[in-house]
Amino acid sequence: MKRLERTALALVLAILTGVPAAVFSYQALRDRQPREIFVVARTVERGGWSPARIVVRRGQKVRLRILAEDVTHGFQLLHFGVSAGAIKTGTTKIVEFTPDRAGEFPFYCSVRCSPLHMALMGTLVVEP
Amino acid sequence: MRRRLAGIALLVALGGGFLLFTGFFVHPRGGREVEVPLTVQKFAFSPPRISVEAGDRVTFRIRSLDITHGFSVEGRGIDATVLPGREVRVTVPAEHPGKIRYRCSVICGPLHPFMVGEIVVRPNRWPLWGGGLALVVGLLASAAVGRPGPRRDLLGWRPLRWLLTRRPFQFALIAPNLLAFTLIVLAGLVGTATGAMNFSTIFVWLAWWGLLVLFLIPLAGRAWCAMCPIPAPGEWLARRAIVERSERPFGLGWAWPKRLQNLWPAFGGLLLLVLFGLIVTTRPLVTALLLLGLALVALATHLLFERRVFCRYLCPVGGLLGVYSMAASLELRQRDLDVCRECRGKACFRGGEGYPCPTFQFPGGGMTRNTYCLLCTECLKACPYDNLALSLRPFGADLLVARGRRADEAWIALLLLGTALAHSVIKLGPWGWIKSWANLEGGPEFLLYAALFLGTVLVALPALHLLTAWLSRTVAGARRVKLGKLFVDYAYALIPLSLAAWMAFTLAVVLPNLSYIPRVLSDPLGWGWDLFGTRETTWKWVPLGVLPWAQLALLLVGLWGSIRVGRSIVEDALGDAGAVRRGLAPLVIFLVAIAWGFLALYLG
Ligand code: SF4
Ligand code: SF4
Ligand SMILES: [Cu+2]
Repeated sequence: MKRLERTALALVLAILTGVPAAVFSYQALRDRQPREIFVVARTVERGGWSPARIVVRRGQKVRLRILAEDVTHGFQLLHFGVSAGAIKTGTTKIVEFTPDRAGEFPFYCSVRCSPLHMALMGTLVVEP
Repeated sequence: MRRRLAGIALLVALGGGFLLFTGFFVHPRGGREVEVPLTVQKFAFSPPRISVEAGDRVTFRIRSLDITHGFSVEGRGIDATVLPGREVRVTVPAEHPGKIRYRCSVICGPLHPFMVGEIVVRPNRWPLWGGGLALVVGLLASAAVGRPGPRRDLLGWRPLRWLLTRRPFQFALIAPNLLAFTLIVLAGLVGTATGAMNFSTIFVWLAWWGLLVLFLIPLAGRAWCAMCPIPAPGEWLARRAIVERSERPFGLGWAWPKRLQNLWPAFGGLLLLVLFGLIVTTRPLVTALLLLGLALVALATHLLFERRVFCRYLCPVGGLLGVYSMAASLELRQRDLDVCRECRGKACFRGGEGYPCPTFQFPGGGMTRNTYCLLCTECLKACPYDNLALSLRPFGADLLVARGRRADEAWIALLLLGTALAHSVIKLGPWGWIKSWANLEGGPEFLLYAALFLGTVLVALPALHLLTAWLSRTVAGARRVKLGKLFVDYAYALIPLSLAAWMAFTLAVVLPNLSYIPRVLSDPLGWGWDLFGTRETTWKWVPLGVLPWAQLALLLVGLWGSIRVGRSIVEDALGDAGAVRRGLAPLVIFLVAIAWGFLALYLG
């Protein structure tokens, strides 16, 4: 095989494997952001909150970055007085709070997003 | 008689134009405050269309019946978010006669980009004026005599010839597209299911389709086929080489079955594609699977059969490109026919320094139309006499070539015209019911939609076309001419107009949605990334005010081209001058009516 041919083959393989590799490693890198939890809001029909169970520690500041993935959603955690308002599709909002009590607290979507909107619920677990 | 008719038509047209023109400068008679309760629901506004007088101020009281939507007026700064359970008031001043389009501005589901509504501001004389202009264009074009225009060989420019005859040239075109293809498939498979936020749907159906229809096809015909990543892996495998010319093919190398040596397989694929068009263009997963499926079929055919039979006979996009490439202003042909006659090896067809033509074309004399030339540049590399030319030429030159006209091509031309019309109604129109029918939301509704769609593109439009051919034959008194032949021949006259209609449609889809492109560049999978800081771009500078003018201009130019082509086709078919004049009339009327239909739909 000539050199040109080898270069082309290498390029093709690099494209076919490099794109997925780049995408997944970038995502993995983002997930390792230490002080931030990435939460995706989807309608119940599409799987609901992801993650639906968020575990944090009492007394430590929590920072949630919430992405509305399919339609406009909201985020409401009444026990700690947190409400993000409407999060338009494709945008993110950041909420910050410091849980001062341990226990399990529900969080909701606050903007009607589907017929099952009322069921779009997740749980915040505050460990002592 | 004909003179008088022409005079009357001209008067009518000028009158129409005058009326519209005065309508433009008329002092607004309105001045009322109009209040309109407007409900929004996936994926339509209700009422979908209202009409008011110029000078009125329309105040919408907007309420959402389901989830959050938006309300923004195209080409103006007005934008509001409509949360469920809360009424929003938005005032739109309707200053000028014409049509004001508004659309949903908060992504609300798959059909969100096509969720639109209309305010018709009276006196809207666009359709009248457009119709008048179409008539004038019709008369002028049918009177003009077409001349074969000059060709200019681009390969006379040495650097270009050098570039195109380098072996890695085609690979250099394919590689970036392969990169995009990989990302498209990946994003479609694992990225967000929201079409407006996924690289796959946006890049295929907005960026690629927009560039293809608005630039690549009219300027360079099938040039896309030279850089298409879909058949590339199969071809590389079958050739056992990516760049070099290898002589050890891999695979079975069967001949493609005779019965399928036509465009009917591509026609079938295209029909399915456009029937499910609304699903395909809004669902990332479907888009990815479609592309992947095409690539796999291409791979299989490359391993089983010789050359690029996939591109030649199977690819639905290939069928579309083939038919429209005849209208393009670029062609690849032999330079000097005598040299080809003397030529022993016929390397362009049989292979030599370069591969044999992948679509079985014989550019050294047998190829008179662009339809099946992929512009892959292999024959340039193969010909030992440098006897090939890549020339600029007048638009639509191949449509005048009588040799090689075929029923399969004609039917693709008809299908494409019908689809342009149907998709304009479905995607650009304000009617929500047909969108949800076409969106496979319910079985019976989808069947109804399918019947309506297929009835239009496979029955009604072809029937009108047949009627045109029959009328033309009857008034020309040319009984001896076969009706089937006229049906096929006349279909080629539709091509410029239908390409223009696709361009007008594509402009109206692409321009208002342009800012999705920087958005998905920053966040290709809809995972909340922001690679370039453009994930929340909204472009206000896009000149949407020019849209109606551009659509009008495109349709008139297309009509002009169609009638010029039509005239020359009628001349070929009917022969003597009197018969031609009479026989042309039904075709011109048909074409003007189609052009006017599009105008009325877009501007009325
Ligand atoms: S194009 Fe070149 S290779 Fe083909 S027939 Fe003509 S001279 Fe021969
Ligand atoms: S005619 Fe030449 S450029 Fe066109 S497809 Fe055949 S080999 Fe390629
Ligand atoms: Cu909407």
